[in-house]
Amino acid sequence: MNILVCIKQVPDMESKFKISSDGQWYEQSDLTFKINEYDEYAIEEAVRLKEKLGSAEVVALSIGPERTKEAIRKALAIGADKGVHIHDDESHKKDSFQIATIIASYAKDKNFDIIFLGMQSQDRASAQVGPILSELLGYNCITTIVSFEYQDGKVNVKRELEGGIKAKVSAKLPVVLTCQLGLNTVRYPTLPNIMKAKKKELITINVNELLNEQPRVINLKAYIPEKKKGGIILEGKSDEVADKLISILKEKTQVLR
Amino acid sequence: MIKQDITQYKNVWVFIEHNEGKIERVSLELLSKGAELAKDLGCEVCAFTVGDKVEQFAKEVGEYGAKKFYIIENPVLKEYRTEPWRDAIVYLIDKYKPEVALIGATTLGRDLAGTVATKLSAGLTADTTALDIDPSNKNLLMTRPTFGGNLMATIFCPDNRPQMSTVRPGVFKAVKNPTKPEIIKEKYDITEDKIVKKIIEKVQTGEEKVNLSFYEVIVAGGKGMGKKENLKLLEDLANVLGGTWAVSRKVVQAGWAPQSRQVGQTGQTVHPKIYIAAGISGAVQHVAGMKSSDIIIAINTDPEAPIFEVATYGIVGDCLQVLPKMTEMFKQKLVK
Repeated sequence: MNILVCIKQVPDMESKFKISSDGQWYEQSDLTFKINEYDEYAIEEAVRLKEKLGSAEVVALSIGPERTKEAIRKALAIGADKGVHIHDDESHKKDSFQIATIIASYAKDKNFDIIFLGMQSQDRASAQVGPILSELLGYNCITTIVSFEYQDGKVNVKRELEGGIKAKVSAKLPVVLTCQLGLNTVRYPTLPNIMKAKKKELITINVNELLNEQPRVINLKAYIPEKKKGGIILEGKSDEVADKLISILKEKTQVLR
Repeated sequence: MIKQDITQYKNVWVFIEHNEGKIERVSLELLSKGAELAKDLGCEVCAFTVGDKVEQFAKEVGEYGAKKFYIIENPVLKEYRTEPWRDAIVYLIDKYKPEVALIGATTLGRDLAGTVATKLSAGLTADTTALDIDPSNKNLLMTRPTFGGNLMATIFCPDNRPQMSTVRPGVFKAVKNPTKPEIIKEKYDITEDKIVKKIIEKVQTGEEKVNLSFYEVIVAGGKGMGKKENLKLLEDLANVLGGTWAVSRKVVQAGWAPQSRQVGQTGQTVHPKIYIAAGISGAVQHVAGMKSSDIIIAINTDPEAPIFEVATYGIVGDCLQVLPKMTEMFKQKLVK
């Protein structure tokens, strides 16, 4: 079985973001990067499937500048067999459609049976690359999966829907699956596996070989939202504080009367 | 790619998401917002949906201002499945060519929007929280938070139509604006044997379904609540205030509360009149889901906690002591 896992390197969410000089997006320097959390579930699930089947190849793909290789090496240390780095220094400016197009043009003649992705990235959180990719490849697509099982050419999964409802869905291969929190617990790569990962194949492809599409949506501007001014700290004994709060709330809202 | 003739696209369409015979609240919120956009564009706001029996929704979408209601009915479309719903919706949009199509950024909406947009070569912006019309060229300006709300981006789609956007629930207000919508029913043939994906069953996981955005007061707890049993303190205060309780993601991860109670980037977005954050540090992902609340009251032992940056009022203290005190005091004062 051929399995593809798509991962994204995202900035640490606690970083201080600065607007880039063109005003359209954010400044890349001075940020620390790591694998998108949901993509880690995707890697783990792909590796588990491979271990269960005995014979399968897991390819880990990521799009981005040179540093993206770190993320791919981690996926290899978790257990992926082969890395594909699509070199693109401008990947952070591409829309979901372009990213999905890059992946699709890499994957289209490789006969992948299952493609695992995170259900969304932590930075943009659009949750669109998976569905668009499936559309471009003509694969089935199941999003936000929280359990996974493969049997006789079919995947059986549970999807998380709104408000605590789960749906059991099955689909034939080939299929695109997007992974949600709760699917699995990601293993820590062991030292021997980290060493082994350094010897695994990691190829680099230039993005220009794969992308020939203009973005469909364009950033007009990016800005840091205005922070609310720090609030008033209420002090005193808890009774007094509660008293103060009640009078404030009575005055300021229609809720308490 | 052949450039679309974008001048033939007209009207603002809102997707009516429904489940078990009920319309999702976000669709009504989008009708209200859609009406504002239509006014700026000088066109009409219309509703559209597909399903088994959906004509029954005409009355409700009319109450919220839809001038027309485009539908496709077919038993195969009863339950949501990406492919048949996509094809039916693509058929409607292709035929009537709206210039804007809005879809709720729910699990279903996010699943559907990407495939529909790809088929249509439309421009799609996901999870927007503000929508405006550029007065100079009538483009839709879609503003969305990224990086958990640390950075906002305003996005537009110059050359493709419809301009599609998924919009987070709870961001806009649903306002009644009664009309009598014209119903336009299209026939679309589709048979079960053409569909590859099967839904085996839907399972209620025992978690209750909670629509947090329905409440004017929300008492939310974080990891500082210490243990599962202490969440009762949130519920007690919420009951006195006539609200409901919620939690941060860390609490869901710890298994103390179901995901349906989660506020934040991966949970629900809320903007109640009063949001009480007890023992919540204020990670950006959480703040993204609650910062537009009218009044935010934060209780935390750490005076440096980031939650105090967004709080209207802050109480430095242990929420396990402060919450019961507040419950007691509110009980006394509010009864009088």
